[in-house]
Amino acid sequence: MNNYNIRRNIVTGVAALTLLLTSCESYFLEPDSPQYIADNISIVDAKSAETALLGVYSALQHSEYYGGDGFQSAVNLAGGELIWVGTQNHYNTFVTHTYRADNRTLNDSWQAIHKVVNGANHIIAKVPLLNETGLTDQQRNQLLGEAYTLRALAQFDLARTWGNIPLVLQPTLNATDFSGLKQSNRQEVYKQVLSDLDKAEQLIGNNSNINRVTLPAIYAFKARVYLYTEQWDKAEAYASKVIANTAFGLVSWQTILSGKNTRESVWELAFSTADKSSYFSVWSSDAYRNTLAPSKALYNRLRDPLIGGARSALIKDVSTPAKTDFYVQLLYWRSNNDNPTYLFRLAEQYLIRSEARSKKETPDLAGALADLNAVRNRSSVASFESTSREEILLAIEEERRVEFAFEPHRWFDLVRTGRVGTVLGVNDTQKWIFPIPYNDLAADPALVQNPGY
Amino acid sequence: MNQLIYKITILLFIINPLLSHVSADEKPAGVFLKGNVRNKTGEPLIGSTIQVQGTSIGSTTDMDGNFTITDIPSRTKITLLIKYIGYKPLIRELKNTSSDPLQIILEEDALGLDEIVVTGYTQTKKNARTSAISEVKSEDLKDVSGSSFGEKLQGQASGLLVSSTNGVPGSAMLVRLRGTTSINAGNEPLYIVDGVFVNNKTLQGIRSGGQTTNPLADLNPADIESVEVLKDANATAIYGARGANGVIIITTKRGASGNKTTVQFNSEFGFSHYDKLWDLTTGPEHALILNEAHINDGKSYESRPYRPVSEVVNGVPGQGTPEEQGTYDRLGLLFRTGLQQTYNLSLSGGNEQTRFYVSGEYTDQESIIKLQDFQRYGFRLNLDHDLSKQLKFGFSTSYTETLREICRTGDTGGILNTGLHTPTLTPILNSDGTYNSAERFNNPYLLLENSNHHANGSHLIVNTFLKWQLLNNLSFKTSWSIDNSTYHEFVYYNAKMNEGKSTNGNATDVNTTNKLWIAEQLINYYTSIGEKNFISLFLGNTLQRNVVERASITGTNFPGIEFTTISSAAVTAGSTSGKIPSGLISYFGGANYSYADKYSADFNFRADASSRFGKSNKWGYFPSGGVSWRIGQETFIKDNLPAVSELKVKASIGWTGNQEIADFASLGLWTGGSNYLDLPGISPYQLANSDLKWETTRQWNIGLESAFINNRLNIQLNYYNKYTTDLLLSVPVPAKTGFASTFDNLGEMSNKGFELEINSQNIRKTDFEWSTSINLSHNANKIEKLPVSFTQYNRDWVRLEEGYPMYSFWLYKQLYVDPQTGNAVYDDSRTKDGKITTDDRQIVGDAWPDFTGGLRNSFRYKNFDLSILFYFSVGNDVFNMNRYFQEHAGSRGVSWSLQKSMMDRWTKPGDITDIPRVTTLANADGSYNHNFESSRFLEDGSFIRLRNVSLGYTLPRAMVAKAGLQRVKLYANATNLLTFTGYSGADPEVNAAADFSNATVQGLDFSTPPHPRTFVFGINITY
Repeated sequence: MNNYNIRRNIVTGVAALTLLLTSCESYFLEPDSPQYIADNISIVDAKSAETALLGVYSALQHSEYYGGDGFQSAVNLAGGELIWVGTQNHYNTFVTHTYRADNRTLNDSWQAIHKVVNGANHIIAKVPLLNETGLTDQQRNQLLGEAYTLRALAQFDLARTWGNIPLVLQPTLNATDFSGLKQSNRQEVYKQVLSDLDKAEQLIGNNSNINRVTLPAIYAFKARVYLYTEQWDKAEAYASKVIANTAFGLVSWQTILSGKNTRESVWELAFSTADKSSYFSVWSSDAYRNTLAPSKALYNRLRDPLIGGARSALIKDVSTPAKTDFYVQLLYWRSNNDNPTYLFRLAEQYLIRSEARSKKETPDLAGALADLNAVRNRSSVASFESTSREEILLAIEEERRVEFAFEPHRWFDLVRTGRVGTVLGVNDTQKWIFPIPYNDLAADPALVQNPGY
Repeated sequence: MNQLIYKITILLFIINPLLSHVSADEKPAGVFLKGNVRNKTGEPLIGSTIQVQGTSIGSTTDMDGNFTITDIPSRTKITLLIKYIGYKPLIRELKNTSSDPLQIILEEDALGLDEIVVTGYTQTKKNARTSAISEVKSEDLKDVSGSSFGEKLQGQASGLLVSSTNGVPGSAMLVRLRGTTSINAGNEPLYIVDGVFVNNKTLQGIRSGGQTTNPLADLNPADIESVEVLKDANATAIYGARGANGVIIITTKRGASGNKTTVQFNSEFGFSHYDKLWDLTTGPEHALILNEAHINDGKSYESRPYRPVSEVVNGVPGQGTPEEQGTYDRLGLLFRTGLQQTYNLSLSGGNEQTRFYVSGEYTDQESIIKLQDFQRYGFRLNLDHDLSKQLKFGFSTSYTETLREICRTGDTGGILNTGLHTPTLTPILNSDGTYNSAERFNNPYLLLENSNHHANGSHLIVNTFLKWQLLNNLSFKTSWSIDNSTYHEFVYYNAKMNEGKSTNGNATDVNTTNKLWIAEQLINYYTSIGEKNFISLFLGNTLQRNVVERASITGTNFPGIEFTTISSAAVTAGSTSGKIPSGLISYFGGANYSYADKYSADFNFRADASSRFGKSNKWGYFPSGGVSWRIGQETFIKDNLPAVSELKVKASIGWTGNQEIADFASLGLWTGGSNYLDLPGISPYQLANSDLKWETTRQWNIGLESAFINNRLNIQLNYYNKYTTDLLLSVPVPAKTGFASTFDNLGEMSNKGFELEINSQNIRKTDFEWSTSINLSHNANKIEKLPVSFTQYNRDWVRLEEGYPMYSFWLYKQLYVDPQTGNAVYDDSRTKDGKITTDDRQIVGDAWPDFTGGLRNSFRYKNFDLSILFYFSVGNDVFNMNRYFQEHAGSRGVSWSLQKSMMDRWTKPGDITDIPRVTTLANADGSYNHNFESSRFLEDGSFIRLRNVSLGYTLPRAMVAKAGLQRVKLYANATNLLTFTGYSGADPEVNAAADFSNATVQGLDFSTPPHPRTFVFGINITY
């Protein structure tokens, strides 16, 4: 073989190789990913908008939000009815109200809730631009109505927990979007929440699937926000709209605990065996003490026929001589982990109306008592009778305490009524809102820490 | 030129092509010859060839330089030709054959040092190397006990930090070459086995409490011929976008042509046991502390929990006095003496045309902790065949199966939590003899009976190549490889176990596969111009595609604990599947020039394109260069310093990359699977960054290679400086965006260090030899630039912050315990506000050692050999999370055990201790005495370990020859015989967070099994 031939061989070889490469470069460098799609083709038609909306519900199901531990545990522990029996002592700081900015649960739930906001913002921004003929106005409005409500819920929860939050109303496309955005205070956020709910009320259709946003759910939500903003008449009016709806009714505790989507639920976040709730995992169970457990006082209250009544079904005592004071809650305990989360229940509407009726300018104490006793009688607890507004308000507070023993209400109730100092001894009002997570303060220069942390 | 190509061939294939196979029909009778080949310093020359001239008969020397030749046709004169690379060929005429062994001494060939060495793609004259490369020989690997070769590398090469994360065989290791260059993009070196870039990422899909498996445990260490560790940029830049963390090249054994097939059989048996465990309080001590905490918390003495049963308070009787409490040991139930056995059989040989190496292996290692076993079956076939003088074909394949029994450690429910973290005052059995399983962690007996967690892996690595020798000095090699591994895991927590109670049993079955295809083309050319100039060139390209696939199903609600397959579960859900493809296209080339064997320079270049990067930055370019000067060859040294045998200075600089981030990291994506109401949903998954590109590490290295007194003393010294820019960072973004983080090229990191290797042949006598090798490494790592500090892991133990090294611990700095109050006092100097808040948390240490190194002394006396290896690590901090949990002062009550150290707590004014008063209440400044992220738990984890002692005895040849064998060696090894450390835990060489986010968390000790002390006895027979 002479040198010329060799050279020719090499040249041919290299040329062939180069050709091969050019033709298959994309095979190597732009592989398809079967799990993901690009941002710009995420919401393009009715179907993809619907899947994106379901994705927002899925974000609501996040284990740090309404699908488990995190937000709910933090609030429940802060409410003083639970004890911490686990290994991760940052949970205990909620019981003792000594939470710090490096609290992991606060960090994780703060992030999880913001994901709901971003998901909803994508729909709110993109759905109006869809010009697909297959998308009817009714569908479009339904999508938007649900998205506005979901955003309102997330921002409401952020504001009532952390007080001062960045109010983001546009979808995120780049990491630097909204840089410099200052926090809004609680009242500003509530105003925005109500504005979203007003829009949703107009847009939403007459869907009756209580696992999603419905018109009654929006009413129930508004009633709650009006209660928090002390607009008693409106709170009463919106609660009445829900209570008057014959689709709902106060059912027995056995029905609630064994069923799903009972008439009690106004908006119930659904879980299934394929889409499990992870809330069960933080609660202590029969044989195993995990992070959270009901306190002995709560057990006694629920088991007291004069206070808890039928709500005794929510708890049981599994103490042994070796393990004293060991109680297990039974609201979130289904063997297939498909227990729902009750976002809005009818009983709350009764108690909202009862409180609004007592507190409005011209109190309707009889109406307030009727609502209160509707809830009490459902649990076979005798009616409460009094003519004193103060006594009735105290009775409502106590009723909420047992009625929502394992739902995240009590902390917020005591904070909004300013009674958290009197009842829980948390006199430092700066502790009434949680600290902004330390990690987010580092990532977001525009954020300002809440006072006192 | 003919000579040169001959030498290349030798080096490429490790063959002895001049010797031919003894044909079967040759007459059996003849002369028997034996002898020994050494160099002038007495070092045996392993693999020297001895040929009887005028015949096709010959032999090669063994590990001790010995050879035997049988069946030489009787003649009056026998002429032997003895050859060894780098030495002058010797012709020895034997007038009359005596039975005394021949003593043959070869002289070094001055020209022989011109040998061309092949490292990866490059061919250079050995003495012209400008790079920093460490080599580890198979002999040094075989003595140390361990399932994978990585553990065996510990302490054997400078600049290479090897730390095994726990004492379970087959578990992950931390391997860092010259520090870390990356935060999120991985710091694992690139492993190349016989030309294949093997997968070194665990395929594990089921978390097992921080443990991960080590894919490199799939390689049979006995097959390894040598390991080369490429450290500086000039050596690694040719691996471009994957070279930044160094490259480890593993070459397996290949057949040599000779007169006889060599059969080697190795059998080993051993046992292991723990060196040290944890010291826990007794039951009465535990109760006493709980009573003390009760009173310190301001509650009444009368209501203390451990009081006589007769004292009824509020209707509740006491639980008995502390003295009445029992002490129940669980650790003893869970640890055992682990047995291990290994069998290796290999055959190698061949003729001029075809050479082969075939091996089979079986290894079975029990961990010292129950429910953890590792088994491996390995097969290898390496084949070389010359189609013609120009065309050579090679084939390497290995297939291994691994079987593991697993039980989680670390996380809740793990076996060590059962053993270590359940209080000693808690009875194991109820009064009626049944298991007391009302604990946070599984009852030990119940766990042993019901644990069902297994994994089996298989790993196939195939490389086949065709090398076309177009000219003597020009070759084209085309190489095709597959690396195919699968890992199948199954875990079943039945309804009796804590993990399975709530779901009435749950099981998960995960299958993960990783497939890699590589095609590589390489052209090599070299030439000499005149007497003094030598030039070598190479050019190549690789195409690579990788696909990782995973499918997982889970089942819950089983009819009974007897049913263990997922098909019997009432609910099978949570099935997931995923497929992640990625690809890489590379072109590379290089040139090496040397002049007069004194001066050399080289230059390398690589271009890489990866699927993982942004559209605007698909291609990365990585140049490197180096120079060296053999001062020792200059006459002014030669004439004046005769003791100097080699003195070389070298310098190199280069740029390497790192692409190991998540696939598709540059794209703005939405993901499926965000379902609701069992309907499909999608949600935003990650933010786009089309500018995403490689991390680039610039590294320069200056080094000194020297040898003295006829090469008896070798000293190598290297200093390096690495600087990484464009760190691929999963950087936190404001939560208001709805994302937690995004990938970006932010941040810079540096590593500076030096490495020293000394090899000394202290004594070289016929009957006694003593040699010493020392290596010492120092690396200083620092995050030079990081716009956003962020924390890692639960409770934010670890923080990445500008100005500090990676693996830094972020804690409240405990200054002292106030002797008067007994309360812990923490550093408030950052805020000086009289309160301990998050702003007072600070970096108080890091997991990096200041120095690591190894010291090996090898002795040979007649037929005995002894090797002693020490390994040490100085200055690394370990966060003792066991203590964090176990010095809990009562707040964890009877749900968590207490360490004996609690007996040193403050109890009365005047006590000087670092363990504060037991109380669950907050101090006035808002801090806590216990259950607080205190620096008290951060300990100095420095240690010196007698890593290995091995003693061998080679039976006298005469005795062995009678049995028709070549060599029989008996040996005994002890691994981890002694550990000297001030660390209070069971073992300072631990990490409970091996599976955490690209191993950004190191030095965390929690429920981690300690390294065993292992004794192994073995026999090695060569036929």
